[in-house]
Amino acid sequence: MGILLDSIKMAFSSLLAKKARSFLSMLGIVIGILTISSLLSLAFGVRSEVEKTITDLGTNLVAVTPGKQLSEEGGANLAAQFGQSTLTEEDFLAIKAEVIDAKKISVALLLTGTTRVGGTVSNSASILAGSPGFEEIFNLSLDRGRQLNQDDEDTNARVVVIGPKTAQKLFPDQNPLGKILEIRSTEFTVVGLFKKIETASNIGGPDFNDVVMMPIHTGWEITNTKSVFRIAMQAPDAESVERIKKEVKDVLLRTHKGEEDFSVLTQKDLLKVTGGVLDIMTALLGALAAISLLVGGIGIMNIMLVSVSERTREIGIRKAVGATQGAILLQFLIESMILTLLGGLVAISFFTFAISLIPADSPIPIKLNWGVLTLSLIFSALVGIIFGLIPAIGAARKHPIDALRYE
Amino acid sequence: MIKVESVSKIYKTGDSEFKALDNVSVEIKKGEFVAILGPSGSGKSTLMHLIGGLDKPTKGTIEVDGQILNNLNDKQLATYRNQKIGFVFQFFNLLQGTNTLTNVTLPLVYSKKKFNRKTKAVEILKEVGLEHKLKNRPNQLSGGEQQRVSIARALVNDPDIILADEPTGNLDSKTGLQIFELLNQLNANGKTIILVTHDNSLAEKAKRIIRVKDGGIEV
Repeated sequence: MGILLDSIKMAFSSLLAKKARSFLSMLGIVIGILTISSLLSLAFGVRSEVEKTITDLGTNLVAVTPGKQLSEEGGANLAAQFGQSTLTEEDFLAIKAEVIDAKKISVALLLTGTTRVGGTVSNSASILAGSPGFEEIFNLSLDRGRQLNQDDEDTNARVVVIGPKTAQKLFPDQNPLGKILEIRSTEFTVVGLFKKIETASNIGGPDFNDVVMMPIHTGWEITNTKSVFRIAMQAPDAESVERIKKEVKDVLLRTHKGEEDFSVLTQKDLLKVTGGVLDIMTALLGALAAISLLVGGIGIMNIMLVSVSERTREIGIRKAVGATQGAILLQFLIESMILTLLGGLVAISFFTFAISLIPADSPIPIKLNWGVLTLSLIFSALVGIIFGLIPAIGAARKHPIDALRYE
Repeated sequence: MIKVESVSKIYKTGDSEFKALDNVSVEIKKGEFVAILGPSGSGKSTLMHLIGGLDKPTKGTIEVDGQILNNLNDKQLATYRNQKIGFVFQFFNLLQGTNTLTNVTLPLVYSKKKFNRKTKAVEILKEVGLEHKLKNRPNQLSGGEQQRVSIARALVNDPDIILADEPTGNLDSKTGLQIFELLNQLNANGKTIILVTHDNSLAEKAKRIIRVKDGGIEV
């Protein structure tokens, strides 16, 4: 223990003796650790944002989408997102009839087209047709007005509920209730306004803040199809999610005559798909950061090699008065470790400070993560050990007599 | 008791060999004050390095107080240098940039003995008359003062043997004499002193002279 404390003291005094040099080589590590901690925090931020979005979709959700979303290897199948829907009203009715304990079984159709109010056109709003219950499953609560109801379904009513973003765009600073908008040359009356959802980016689905929703029968009528974009339902509890999924699959396999051209997804499945993509992103960002840390580490190694060479005589003196190879090794390792650890500390303090400057409502999904900070510190110490090792071994192996004679 | 028995030391550089010591045998008893005298390149420094455990002989054995140095590994040799030997060098070999106190306590960093380092160092510095220069760095001290710091460093761990390699070689004759007197006094207090020098008149002041020439001992 004693020699450790002495080594730390000696390291500080020799680092302080060469302030400019220590500072500059530390700077490389500061930049490296700063890169690591910000990129990793960003990766984790995006990940938790995405996962929150999926969990926010609703509890115990089971959704049927057209096409095969998950390939056999568990990856995402893009064609399923864009192809012609393979689901129909028949599937919906069959599920409704046979999967008895699923709740709020509802259906939605995604329409292509634009929404128009006089001269104002919104291209971004997703036009959705949904059966009653759809809004409940996706936690779409009302800001004002009313939800679509069975009456609207039965009469193919030309009514819509719109998202807050859409309302702001089409009816800036006005009460949208009772206003008329036009979709595919058909006029609709706005009867309700959805409340704003914080995590708006819904993976693989529409942005519910920018949405126009009409009754499903109305949708079928104006598109002249019976096709379905999504069938969603809620399992009675978390334990029965997998069972409901299986039942739905069995029903659909029968109505589709054995061909599995649809997917039954739970939130777990969605997390799996997005998780795979996020893993790749995290790995890429991590690799980028590692390169910058590598450069910093090479700087440390360079400066330690110079230092060992300059201090050959000191090494000789220390050996003459009884320093073992181990003691010399420890001294130089601790010196490079202190250099990189200090660099790491500076980097994470700077990073913490920078994060505190980002406003709370900023769209950048970067948050302080203690795991990342701890990891950064461990990395900085590791860089000190790894890149300090060769110079320290060189120092420890110097022959005392040669070292003492070194000019 | 130091026993050097049929010791040879051969340095190899590439294909050429240099025999620094050739079959040397010598004994130094505890408490002796011995001068090893010889011209430069005679092998006297090599002999001192071998006795001091800084190097190992190519042939022969070196035994100090019953311990055969040939058999010691790096760690044991370091402990031997730390506990048994105090080195005093011609060019002082103090750590530049660190003060007197830190220089004197340096061997204690590598020692297992539990001294209060500062108390011990101040006590020794009083013996060499430098207790008022604790905070001075080597470049703020005269040559004689620096050599006294290095003697204090050699003494701080209470070794039995002081190995002094041309300790006065870099000092004026008056200061050199003072340093010699200091060594003499240490010898009176029971330390074994081995003084390596090429200076005849200095060697003659020691109690015994071992003359080294061309890697051998002249009797």
